[in-house]
Amino acid sequence: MPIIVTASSKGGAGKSTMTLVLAQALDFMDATVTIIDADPNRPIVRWRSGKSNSKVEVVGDITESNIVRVIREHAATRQFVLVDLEGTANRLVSRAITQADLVIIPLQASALDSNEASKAVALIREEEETLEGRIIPFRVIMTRTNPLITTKIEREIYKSLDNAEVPLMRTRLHERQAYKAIFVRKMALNELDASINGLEAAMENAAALAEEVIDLIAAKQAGGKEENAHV
Amino acid sequence: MSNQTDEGDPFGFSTRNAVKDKLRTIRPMPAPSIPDMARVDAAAENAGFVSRENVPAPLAYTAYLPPAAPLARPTIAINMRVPQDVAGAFKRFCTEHRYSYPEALEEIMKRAGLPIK
Repeated sequence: MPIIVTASSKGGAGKSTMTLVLAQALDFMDATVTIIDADPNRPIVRWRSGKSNSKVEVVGDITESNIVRVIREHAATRQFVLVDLEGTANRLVSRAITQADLVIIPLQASALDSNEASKAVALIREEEETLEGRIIPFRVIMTRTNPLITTKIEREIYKSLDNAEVPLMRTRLHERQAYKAIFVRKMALNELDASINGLEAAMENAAALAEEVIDLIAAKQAGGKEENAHV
Repeated sequence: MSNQTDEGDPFGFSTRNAVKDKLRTIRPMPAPSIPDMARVDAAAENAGFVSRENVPAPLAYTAYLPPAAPLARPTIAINMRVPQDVAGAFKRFCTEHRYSYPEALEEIMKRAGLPIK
């Protein structure tokens, strides 16, 4: 525990990037982290095949029949289990969510992404109803944002999320060259060449994300129960 | 991703240390019990989240099929997104009966007793 599932039925929303950046930031804080890469494209399994000295463990070969077992096995021995899922509406997503302590839904500022994110929210609410009393905490996170400005569309999406009482993370995952470079070079952020544009800002952004997640999880654990629908 | 203490605080308090303290309280532990997956799967299907495994592939053609004769009536295009299992069943129906999609739709409507004209 905790088990953090990244879900959106749209590809390109930033699930794998958010998952890997969060994992690296937690690892940098000396947490033990496993990523379960349940995306058939295996972006994080491929990252792990590089020469990074990161201690993040990555597990692939995930199917509908083994996903719950694999999550539970790693949750018993690791501080954080992060689950990265394919960007489609499929049963892997729904099964992973049953185990989640926190579901993070990445969202780029576009109507298309918002519609797909709303499907993930609908799924969580459907599962909460089925699981009778189990609250599945979730947060939407804005991804690929501009660190300097909040666009008009972003502001409209915030308003829409607020109206729908959908909780949003304070941290936005900005568009950073370093986040692309970790996949290309198969390295951790702190192993990248310092010449990469905006590296320090990317690392600060990653740390802010990890700190917010730790806050959310610690608050949930301190409460001792799932008292709040949306942490 | 800096791990040093906050140097800006003149009294020595550190938000970074507070985060580390919280992190120490987060420990591995067994996950909660496994729910009834059949119910979860049914709920997921209601929300449009379906299995992508074990979906039967459409039957392969075993013999050459000549192209269907063009319809003699005026036509329009209908584009639809349908659930994967329904699409699979529809394609199997077409394959098994050697119908084109328009012919199959017409046949299904006839069998359902729906007026066409």
